[in-house]
Amino acid sequence: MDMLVMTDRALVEGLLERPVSGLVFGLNAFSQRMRETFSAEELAEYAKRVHEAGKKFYVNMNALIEEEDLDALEDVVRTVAELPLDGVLFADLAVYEAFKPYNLTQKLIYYPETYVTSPADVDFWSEQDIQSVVLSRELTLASIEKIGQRKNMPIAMVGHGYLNMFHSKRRLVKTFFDHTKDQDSNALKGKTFTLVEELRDDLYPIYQDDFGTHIFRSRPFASFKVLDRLAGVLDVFLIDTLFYERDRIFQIVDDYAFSLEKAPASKLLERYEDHDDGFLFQETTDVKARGGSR
Amino acid sequence: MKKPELLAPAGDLEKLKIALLYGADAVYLGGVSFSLRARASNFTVEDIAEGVRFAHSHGKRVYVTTNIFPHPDDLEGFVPYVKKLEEIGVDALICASSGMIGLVRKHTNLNVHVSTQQSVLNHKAVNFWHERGASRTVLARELSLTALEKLARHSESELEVFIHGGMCVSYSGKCTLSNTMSNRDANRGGCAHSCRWNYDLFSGEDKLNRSMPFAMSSKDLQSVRHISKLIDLNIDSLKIEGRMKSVHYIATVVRTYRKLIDDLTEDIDVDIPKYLLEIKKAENRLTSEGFMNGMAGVDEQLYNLRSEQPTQAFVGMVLDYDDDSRTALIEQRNYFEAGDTLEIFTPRFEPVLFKVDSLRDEEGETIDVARHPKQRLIIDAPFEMKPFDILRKPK
Repeated sequence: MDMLVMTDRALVEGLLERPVSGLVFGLNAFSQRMRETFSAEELAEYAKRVHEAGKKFYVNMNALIEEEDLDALEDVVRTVAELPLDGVLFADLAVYEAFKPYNLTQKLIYYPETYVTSPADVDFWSEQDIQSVVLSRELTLASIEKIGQRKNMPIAMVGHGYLNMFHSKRRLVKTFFDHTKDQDSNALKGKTFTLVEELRDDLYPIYQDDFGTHIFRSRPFASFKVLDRLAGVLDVFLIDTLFYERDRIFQIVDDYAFSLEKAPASKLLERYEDHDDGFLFQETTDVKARGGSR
Repeated sequence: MKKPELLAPAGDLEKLKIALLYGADAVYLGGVSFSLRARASNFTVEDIAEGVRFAHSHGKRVYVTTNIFPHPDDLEGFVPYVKKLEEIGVDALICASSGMIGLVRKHTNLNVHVSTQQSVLNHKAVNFWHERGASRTVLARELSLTALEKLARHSESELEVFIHGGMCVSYSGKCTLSNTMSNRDANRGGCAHSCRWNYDLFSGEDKLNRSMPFAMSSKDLQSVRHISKLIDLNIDSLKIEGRMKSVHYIATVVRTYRKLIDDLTEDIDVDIPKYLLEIKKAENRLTSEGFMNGMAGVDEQLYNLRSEQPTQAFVGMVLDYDDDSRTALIEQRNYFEAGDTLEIFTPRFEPVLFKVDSLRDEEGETIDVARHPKQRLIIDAPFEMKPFDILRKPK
C-alpha cells in the first residue's frame, strides 16, 4: 500500500527523508483545502526533486470547475501535462476531460470525497481508463472491506487528517457579518474559526476562501487501530495534513510507517487520543422516522 | 420558441395528480428505496405504476429518483427494481451515483437523468455524462444565468434547471454535516438539515456572533423574473423542488409557472408582480433568486428566524360536482365557516372569490363550521367545480 502525503513547501524535504511513497502538491487556483498551493512552473522543480529522492509526484486538482474557469483549466493542464506526473487527483469531470487530449487519463485519481461509496462506483470508474479512485469518507470499515474485496482497479482512501464535511460556494462567514455587523466581515477572510452547534460541545473548524466555505469534523481522523485491515484492501493511503503543525506531521508519518510494519503500541496510540475513528465504526443509517435524533 | 418542460415534485399520488392537473408536464417521485427525502411519502412500485398510468393518460411523464449514493449493502435489489420500473413504463430515472448510472445503462433501456447531487457546474461534465448514456443533466443550483448561457451553448444533452424551492446551502452531494452530527446520511435519504441549525462562531475563545446565533440557512429559490431568459437559453426542463411540500403549495407554484411559461411563449404581456403575488399565497419560507444573478450574498441568506405565512389558507378540495343541484362535495383541509368568502383555485381559470352561502354535512344536515379534517361537506357552488379544485381562504 502506497502512503501519500499532502505537502507544503516547508514539509517537502522532511517528508522526502521519510518512508513515504509520494508527495501530493496543490496547484494554484485548482486545489482546495491544501496547506499551500504552487504554480505549475514551481511544480516542475519539485517534481524533479521528488523523483531524485526516489518518491512519486502527485498533483491535487480537486477544485470544482465553473463554466467560466474552463479556459484557465485547459491552459494549466497544458503545462501540468508536461510534468513527470505519477498521478493527479481530481473531483470535477472537467479535469478528466481536460487530460483526455494528452492521453493522460491513466494518471488520474478520482477524488470527489463523497461520491465513491459502492462496488458499482468502482466498476464504473474501472471502465474510464483512470489510475484509481478515492473512497468516500463516510464509509464504515465494513463497507470499505466489501468494496476492497471485489475491486477491479486500485482504490485509495484518506486514512488520516481533518475530514471536510461541508463545502458551500457561499461566503457564509462574510455574509453573516455583513448582515449582523458584529464584526468587520472583510477582516475575516483566510482565518480559521470554530463553529459550535447550540446543543453540542464539538468545535468544528470552519474557514472561507475563494472556493467558498469549508467545515470540518471536530476531531481529526486516525486509522492506526485498523491499519492492517485497511492495508489488506487499499492500494493507496492518503495523509491529509491540513491544520497540523509541521513537527506533528512528521510524527504522524513516522507513526504510520512504523504501524505498517508492526502493530501500533499503546504509547503510539496515546499520541492520537485527540483524534477519532471518523466513520469507520459510525453507521449513518438513522432517519427521523426511525428515531434518529437531531 | 421552444416551450420548456415544467417538472414538479410528487410526494404522493394525490400530489402527483395535483401537479399534473395544475400544469406540470412531468413529475418526479421517489420510491421506498434508493431515493433521497426518506421522510417524503414515498411510492411503492404499485403506486408508481398508478402514477405512470395517470400521467401517460394525460400525455405527461414520470421520472423516478434513485438518487442516493449507496453503500455496498444498499445496492441489494437495485437491478430488479429498475427493471420493474422499466416494465411499468417510467420515463426516466434520476441518478446521482456513477455506479447506479452504470447499472441502469447496463441492465435497462431507461433514460437516465444525472441528479443535481452530482453538482455539475460545466458543459464538460454534462458531455461526459452524455457520452456515457445520460439523456439529461440536472445542473447545480450554484450556476448564474451568465454561466448557464455559456454552458447551454456547448452542452450535448438535455439540461434541467431548478427554478423554485428549497436549496442546499452546500454543494449538493458534498455535505456530511448530518452524517457527522446525527448519524443520518444526507446522501442516503436521512438529511437532518444541520445547516439550518443555530451555531456560535469562535475565534479562539472569543465568540464572534453577538447579536444572534450564527446561521447558514439559505432562502428558498424563486425565479419568476428569469423564466423568460431560461426559455431563451433553450433549457429543456424547469424544475420545482419540494417532494415534502403541501398540496396547496404544489398547486399554487405549478399553476403560476405554468401560466408564466405559456404567456411568455405565446407572446402575451406578462405582469411579473402578479405572478410573484400568486406564489406568495403558498410561500412558507422567504425566497430569493439564489445564484441566478451571480454570487449569492447576504440577501440570499435566511437570517430572519420567523417562517413566512402563506397569505391564503387551504381549506378544502373539491371531490365532486353535481350540475343539477349546483353543489360541490368537498373534503375539509382547514377550518372555515359558513358565510366565509373563499377563493376557488383551479387549473381552468383565474382564481375567483365566492361566498359560502350554505354548508352541509354528507347527510345534508346544515352546519355552521367546518372543523374536522378530511370531513366531507356539501357547499352551494356558484359556478362549475371539478375534482382537485382547491378552495382557499384569504388571511
